[in-house]
Amino acid sequence: MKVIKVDPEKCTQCHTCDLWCGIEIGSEKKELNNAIHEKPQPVPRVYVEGNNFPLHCRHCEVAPCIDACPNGTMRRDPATGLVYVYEPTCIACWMCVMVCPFGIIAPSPSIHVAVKCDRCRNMEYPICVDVCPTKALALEEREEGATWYGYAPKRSY
Amino acid sequence: MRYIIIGGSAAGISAVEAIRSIDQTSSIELFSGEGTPFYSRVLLSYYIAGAITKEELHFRPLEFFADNKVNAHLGQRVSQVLPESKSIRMGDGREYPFDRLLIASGSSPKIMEVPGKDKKGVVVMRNIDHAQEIVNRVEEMKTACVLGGGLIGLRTGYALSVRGVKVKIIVKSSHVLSQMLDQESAEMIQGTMRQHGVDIRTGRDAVEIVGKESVEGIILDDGERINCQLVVIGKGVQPNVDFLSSTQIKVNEGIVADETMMTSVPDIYVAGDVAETYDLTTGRTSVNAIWPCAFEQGRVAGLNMAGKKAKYEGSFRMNSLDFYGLPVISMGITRIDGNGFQQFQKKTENTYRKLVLRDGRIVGAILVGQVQKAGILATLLKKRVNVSDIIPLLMSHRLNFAELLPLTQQNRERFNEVEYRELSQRPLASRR
Ligand SMILES: Cc1cc2nc3c(=O)[nH]c(=O)nc-3n(C[C@H](O)[C@H](O)[C@H](O)COP(=O)(O)OP(=O)(O)OC[C@H]3O[C@@H](n4cnc5c(N)ncnc54)[C@H](O)[C@@H]3O)c2cc1C
Repeated sequence: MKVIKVDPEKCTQCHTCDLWCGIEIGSEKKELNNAIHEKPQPVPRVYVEGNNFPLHCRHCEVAPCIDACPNGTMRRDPATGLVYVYEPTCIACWMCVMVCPFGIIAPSPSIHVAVKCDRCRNMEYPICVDVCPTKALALEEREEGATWYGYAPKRSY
Repeated sequence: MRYIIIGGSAAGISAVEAIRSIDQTSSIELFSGEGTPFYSRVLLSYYIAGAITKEELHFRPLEFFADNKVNAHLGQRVSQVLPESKSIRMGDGREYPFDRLLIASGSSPKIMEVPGKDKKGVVVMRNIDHAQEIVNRVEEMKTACVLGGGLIGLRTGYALSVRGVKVKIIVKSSHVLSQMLDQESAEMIQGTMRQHGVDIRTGRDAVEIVGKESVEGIILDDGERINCQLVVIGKGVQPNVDFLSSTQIKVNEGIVADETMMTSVPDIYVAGDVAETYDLTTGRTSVNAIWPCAFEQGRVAGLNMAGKKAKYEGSFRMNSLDFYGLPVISMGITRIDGNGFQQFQKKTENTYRKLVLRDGRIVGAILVGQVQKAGILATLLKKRVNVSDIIPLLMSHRLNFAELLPLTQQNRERFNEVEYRELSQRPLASRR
């Protein structure tokens, strides 16, 4: 599994990552001038925290959000192990929010869905890594021997 | 290896996934007292509310058993576990042998001894048939009374209210959700529910259910009569252990589990609502009958059954609800009794945050309104780290994980999973 690694020493707090995440992933129109007017407001999946620490879903080896989800909405991509929210079945119970060690799952009151980073699993490259002007974010293989557990359906249902 | 699993709900299915992550070939025989597989109990109230369909109650696809090579015996109750011969016995005398057994038989509603409880229209809420019975009656129902202010009763009451039924909740304690919330937070929920027309009577109990064959009303302990066409009894749950009589398997409140989720008898494991485990907040063993614990315990049991060592650190109660857009999350000990606790509270008009500490460690928390960072508190609770130096941060809406990074680094031995280690390493691409 490839994950996003963070170098806080290189982060200049420019927020390019969350701006682009909000446009590319969060918005309907995928274009800045339109995205800023969208209602509900697009939600970025990366948070620049503690001054210089951009934080995303960490795709835990044993993911408590998958354990807590009462209907299999929180699940893994069977090919990569990346954890994602299957939005059509999310019932906004916030059980995943209750257990996320990193506090990165947003309970969206407007769209009634748990919103979180899926490391752009359907794109060639995560947008935040792509746009970071100082290369504070990098896409790298997780350490050898790492594994993952939990629900990974081969088909959507 | 021959595996047998009793119960095909959260804990049983989680164990199947864990076993199959290691052992793809051994036989798994799964017995479930229920005919309908893979429905999520937690969502039953959403079904009553009309928010989801019956199909959407599924937490796994119907092909799950086939995909995982599980031989499922649905609608078949195990009547006896026979540890000496390492087998189980069915009602009709058939026996099935096992090498490793998992008991994941869950719990059942407690019965309330109140006159009139056998009338038509008096229901409990535990399974899909109960929910269906309520749904079938919704159209003809004007008023429903819920006896008990626990989570299941409240969820059911909320669902009925969303369906346009007049709901009255009768609570013995001074506020609803007395296991989960303190007075302040409970009043916020009660306020919201009342605004939406739900009638909540605290400090009251029902002494009789009246009516001829069907329910026509209830009588409260102060003599008041409330007319209603449905009574939902929500007085808590008890573990299903009837099929263990005359075995050596140790049962207190639930079946006692060790750190590997094994019972007192080798090769027999337990997980979920039927299991009694070490409680991280009280330091005693207890049954924490919640979905996340069932899944986690099921995985630990399944891994150990399949020969991979896994340790269960312990459980604690927690829950999340969102009625009419007011999110509430509660965990651990939230009302202190006795010495040695410290508590911190902060309230605004629409938010509330409370932390309970013992020996500098979080043992409980309540969040109302703003809940996104609840999981950080749950993790600190679970990891049992000393947080006495960072209380202002924990109590503030500024709380975020990056601020806690130094704490996780000071407690490396507890935050040793790859996802934490990775955050302390700079990416290779950045190193020259
Ligand atoms: C209405 C409702 C709302 C809930 N809301 C929440 C919530 O918001 N959050 C939360 O965390 N939890 C909630 N829960 C609790 C949650 O559903 C349980 O913790 C969870 O289902 C436990 O899973 P389990 O596998 O241990 O047991 P169960 O789900 O109880 O399943 C046990 C299974 O074993 C079967 N069985 C029992 N005895 C035998 C036998 N002898 N032979 C064969 N099969 C047997 C039963 O028929 C059943 O199918 C709720 C429960 C209900 C009913």
